[in-house]
Amino acid sequence: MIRLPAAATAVLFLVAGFVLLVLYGPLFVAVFFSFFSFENNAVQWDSFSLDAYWSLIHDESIIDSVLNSLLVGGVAIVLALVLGTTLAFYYNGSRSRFREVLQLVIFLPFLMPPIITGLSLLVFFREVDFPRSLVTVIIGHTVFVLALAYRIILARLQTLRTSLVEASLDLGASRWQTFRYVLAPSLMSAIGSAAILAFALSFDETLITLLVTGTESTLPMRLWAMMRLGFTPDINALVTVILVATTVLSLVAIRFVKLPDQS
Amino acid sequence: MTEQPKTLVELSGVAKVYGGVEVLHAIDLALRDGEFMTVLGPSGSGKTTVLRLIGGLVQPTRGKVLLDGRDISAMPINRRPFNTVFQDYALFPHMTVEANVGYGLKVRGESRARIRDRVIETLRLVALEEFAGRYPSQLSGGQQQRVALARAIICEPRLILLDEPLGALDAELRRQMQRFLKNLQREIRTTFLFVTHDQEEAVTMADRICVMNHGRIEQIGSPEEVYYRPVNEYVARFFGDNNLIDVALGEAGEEDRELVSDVGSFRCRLEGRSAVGAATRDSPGKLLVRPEAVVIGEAANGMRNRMKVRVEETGFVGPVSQVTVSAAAKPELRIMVKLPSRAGGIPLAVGDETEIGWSDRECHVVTA
Repeated sequence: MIRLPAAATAVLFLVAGFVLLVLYGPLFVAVFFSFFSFENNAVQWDSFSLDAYWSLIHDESIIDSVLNSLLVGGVAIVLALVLGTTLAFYYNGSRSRFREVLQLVIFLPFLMPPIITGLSLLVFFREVDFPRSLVTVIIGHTVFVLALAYRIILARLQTLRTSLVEASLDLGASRWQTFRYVLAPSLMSAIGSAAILAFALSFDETLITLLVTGTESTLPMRLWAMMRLGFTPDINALVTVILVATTVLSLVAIRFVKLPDQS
Repeated sequence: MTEQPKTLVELSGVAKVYGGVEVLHAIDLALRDGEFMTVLGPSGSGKTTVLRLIGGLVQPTRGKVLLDGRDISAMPINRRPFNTVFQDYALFPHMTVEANVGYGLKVRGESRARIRDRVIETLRLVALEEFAGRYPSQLSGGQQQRVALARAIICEPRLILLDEPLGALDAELRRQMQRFLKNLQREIRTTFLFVTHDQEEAVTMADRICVMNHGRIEQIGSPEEVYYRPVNEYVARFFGDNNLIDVALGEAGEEDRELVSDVGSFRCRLEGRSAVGAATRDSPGKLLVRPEAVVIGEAANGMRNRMKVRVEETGFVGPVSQVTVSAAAKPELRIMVKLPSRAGGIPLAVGDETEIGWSDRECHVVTA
């Protein structure tokens, strides 16, 4: 452990404090104004209420958009995880040149500006006459988060010692048993963190969604629409709810990643 | 031993090519049922490839792998009645010791109760019954090693393959494990194929040693055979210190042979399988004399072979003292002599002129 002089420690504390303030300050402002109202250029301290939350859960369009977001995110991560795991296994096990091309194809939608990815999908769906709906949104999100899921799972797969697979086969296990008892448990933490990160990405994805959706809207789209009508306490309440949900998810993710990894 | 023990596994003309490089050149190797064989060689000699070929981790490019005389070259790894102890142990990190050891039985579909009984029994054999509930990361290197061993023997394989399993252990633990493995092998009466690059390890553990170099088998024999009757210079230099003197083969006597060198002529009784058998008169060879077979000073008087020398260096290495001498007739020829150490030290000083000698039984000849 390196010991820093007291002055340096103090400066570091100040810098860190400032960064945290700038990063999280606005969030707390939003949380604050979800409980209090702001009128006549002053905070109305006696205006504490949960009305904003109350109206939120009674706003069907918001509830619908939340459900849509959960549905899209849920289906997209399942698809991305299945595809990502399969492709990671293929890449790790194959020696063919094709695997590099395939990897590029997986990464491209993630690396390109989302507007390009979204537009390409839109043009594609129009050309093949595929009606835009939540299904197209799910396809769009899957394409987008696949790179992330694939990368995380592949990274874990590559650090797995091949001797573990050899040992399993050597002890008489079939390929399936080897996957089931040796590989899958070792990949679980990677799959878990891939799922959470992919979900977080999908949850706030706006641009691609905007381009490929039909009449349904997801939560970020709904938020966007609400803001065009003016800044209401409902928006603050919604931001607060999302903030709490994201924090809980992150804590779960940290637990997942920190699972004792005895390799 | 009156009857020849039967052959368990045989490699017949097995060659292996990796990426255009032939790492194994058509080798033949027969493994006897119940023996402890070590495959010994430097890294890159192909010894691990031999193990992986038998285990089924790689397929031969040419040739056949036979089990009980049947060709098993195409048999997949998980069908072969062999189990491997890997160099890095390859214990499953997310499973307890108990689950690791029971794995081979579990995938065969044995009942839980039977697996439990067998695991306890096997852990007792490797003195680890108290550690059943631990994870591999909570064990020391030597303990992990024994878990890997237990995991292999629980399947009651016909053959256990060990890939430099002691490489990661410190010297003292290594010696303990060597004794342990040897005793275990006697107890369970299973054939062991043990790959190592450590010649001392090979000599202390093996019934037979297979010496490999550059993808070829140089010699297969008992530790005594490879030590005292190496078939070539490579094997002669591989095991311990050896004195090599260039000679030409002279007249063959009734029970010995004359050897002519720059530093005089010697006589040597050639016993057993000797590389010199087919060599003709005047063909060049090397006379091998082990440093511990050479006597120095007065003791040399009664010896059949003698040489005048000058003492160049003396050193104390514990149980033996090492003396390096140079031949009086050819000072660049150095001979190493090992004497049992005595409390008074050795009565020789650097620069002393004296004589060395060795018996006509304590030597061996390889042809170049």
